[in-house]
Amino acid sequence: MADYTGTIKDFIENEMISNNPGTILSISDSLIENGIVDSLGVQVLIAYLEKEFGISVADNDIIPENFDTISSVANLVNLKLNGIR
Amino acid sequence: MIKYCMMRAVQAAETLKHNSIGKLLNEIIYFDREAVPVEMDLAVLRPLEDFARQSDEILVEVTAKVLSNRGLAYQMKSRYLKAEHYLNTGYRGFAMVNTEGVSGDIWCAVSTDPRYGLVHPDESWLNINCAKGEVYAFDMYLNPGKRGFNLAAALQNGALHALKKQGFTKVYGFYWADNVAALWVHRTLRWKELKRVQASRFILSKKFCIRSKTEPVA
Repeated sequence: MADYTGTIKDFIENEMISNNPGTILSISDSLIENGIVDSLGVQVLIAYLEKEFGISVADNDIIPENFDTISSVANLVNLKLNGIR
Repeated sequence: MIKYCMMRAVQAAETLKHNSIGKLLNEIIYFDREAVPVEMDLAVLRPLEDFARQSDEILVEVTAKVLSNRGLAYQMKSRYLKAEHYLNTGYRGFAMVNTEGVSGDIWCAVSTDPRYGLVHPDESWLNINCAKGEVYAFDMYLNPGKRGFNLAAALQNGALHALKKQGFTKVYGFYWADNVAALWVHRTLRWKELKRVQASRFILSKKFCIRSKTEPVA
């Protein structure tokens, strides 16, 4: 499986943390607890993933477990690209 | 009736001002739109601390007194008129407020005695029925300038905790399946999803052509 964590991390750090520029995230930091992925953030992130990776994020993929960390987001992308979900 | 029409006209004008005609049309004309009825057992709520907001922001119950004293400053006039209308109908509301005004609000129809029938018209097309001590929550509004930082989850979770403190045991509600933001908030708060329904509506008509869908997804 390819490692997309770096690409996703760059997007989140540069485009989604507007109130705190320069923040460095680890791939296991909780995006939900840090208020980065909330009802607004999840829409931004899904739009990015669909455009960047050409995947389609379905209704039943939109659960906290898939969007809590950069690692879990990258895992979702991999599952989608490999046709597992 | 005149007041109600005025409220709707102001609401349409403000929706057009802050969004687009597409958004307005999406709310009044739809065909086979999928709704997800949900329920929440108030015994298993997530802690308030999970969705902490700014320290000067608090949850208040919206009452006629608070509203008539202009104690709540709504950014949108239509929302103020709607709050007035809901209170006159007998609904109850909760608002997240700070010194700048209302960040968001949510409304509830409370069942005190099931013999009086449905507590809210949505219950019939959603196939839900509030028993005594249960609540139907609906129409959550977020001030466009205050969105983000878990406002929706904090408001909804705060209202659920307030209802629990008042002795209620279960809350029902629904969201549209195509509304990703609403879907996210409900799943984050761990609402239980019930059997989906599809509904159609044309401008001012009631929702019609209601059809049950397959089993819940999550």
